Amino acid sequence: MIETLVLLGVAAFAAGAAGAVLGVGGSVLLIPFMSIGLGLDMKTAIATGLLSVIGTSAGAAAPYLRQGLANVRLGVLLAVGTSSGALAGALVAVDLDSRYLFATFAAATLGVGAYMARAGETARERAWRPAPAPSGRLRLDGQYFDPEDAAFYRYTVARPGTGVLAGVGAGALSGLLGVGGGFVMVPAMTGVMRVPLKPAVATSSMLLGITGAASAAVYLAGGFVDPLLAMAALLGVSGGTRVGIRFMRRTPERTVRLAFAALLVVVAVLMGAQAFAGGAVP
Amino acid sequence: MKETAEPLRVALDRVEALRQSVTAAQASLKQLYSLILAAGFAVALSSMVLGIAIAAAEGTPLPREVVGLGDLGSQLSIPTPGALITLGVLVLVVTPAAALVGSAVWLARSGEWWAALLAGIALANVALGAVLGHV
Repeated sequence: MIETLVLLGVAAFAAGAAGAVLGVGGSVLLIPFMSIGLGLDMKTAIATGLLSVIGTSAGAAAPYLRQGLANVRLGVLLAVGTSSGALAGALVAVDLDSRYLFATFAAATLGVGAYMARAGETARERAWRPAPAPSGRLRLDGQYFDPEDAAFYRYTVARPGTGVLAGVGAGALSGLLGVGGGFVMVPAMTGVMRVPLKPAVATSSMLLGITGAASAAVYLAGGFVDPLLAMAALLGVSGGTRVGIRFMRRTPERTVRLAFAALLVVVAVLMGAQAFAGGAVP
Repeated sequence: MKETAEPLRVALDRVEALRQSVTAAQASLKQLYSLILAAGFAVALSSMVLGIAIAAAEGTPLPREVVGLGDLGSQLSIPTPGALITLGVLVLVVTPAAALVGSAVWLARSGEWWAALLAGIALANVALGAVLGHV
């Protein structure tokens, strides 16, 4: 048992660091590791993954907010979509065959990864772009200081309605598979809503906690939470998150984007393999 | 020339003052949200670590299941390792919702009713998730 906890802690550290840098909750890496690598029950893995999502969110979003990178109003708007989707996803998950879940997951992550690798617009090019009326009414526009360029950027938010719809999809995946949904929300914010990558990653970190909380409550009440696994994951994630945030502030945007795309391909292969193996969700 | 430049300078000063006030207001909301997240995370982690420490000191086996809500209060009064770890898990799950509550109140007090309403809807969804989990 100690070996399992140590391995989980190390994996959670890596997942936390990756999550903070890439704006994903970390469970997108942890759940395949726990279910495939450690052979844990899938629902326990999902519950532990969701708690690590919340831990990553709390650990990463707080400094991002203090640094002025995260956009609270945008996060609140998108949380309407992600929390609604998480509820719907949790309800549907009970009756859906796990093979379809894994296959859908693999296809979605592969598509998003390809999109992220292809997009090449910089934060500077997106700054000061005019926004449609709803963005102005909801005061979603933001500003941040980028140490990479030593420059102060302002940005506008486009297509908030489409972003909320993307949030419903991300939340549904969270409810179904226990992931935070950041791997959908970051591309949605950068590609569809025209938010620069660093504020998108920071806002996604904040958003993951809300989405994860809606799903985690279901698993907690269902008795699927193993407190020791949760503890190991949380300690690992909290340490990894601190390391990841340091990298986030100084890592070039292109590096973050390509690392994110590569990560999604790995996840897609893992999930695809699970789908062909018959699925692991009991 | 001086007569032309003076009104322009005054106008620019007013715009800058307005910008700074908006920036300060945004920073205030972010600080509130950040404070709630950081505090919740610290309490959750501390409670879990304390639970593990007590278990290690007493030589009792580490808990593998969370304590039910009905028994949590009585076990916390002792306190048992399982209760402390369960409290940590609960605080962790509740922390994002608490940050949403804080944001909703802040936005409502600032007259941003649309944003406050959105925060309320997201909060209702999180609460509904907790209710559905018990069904």
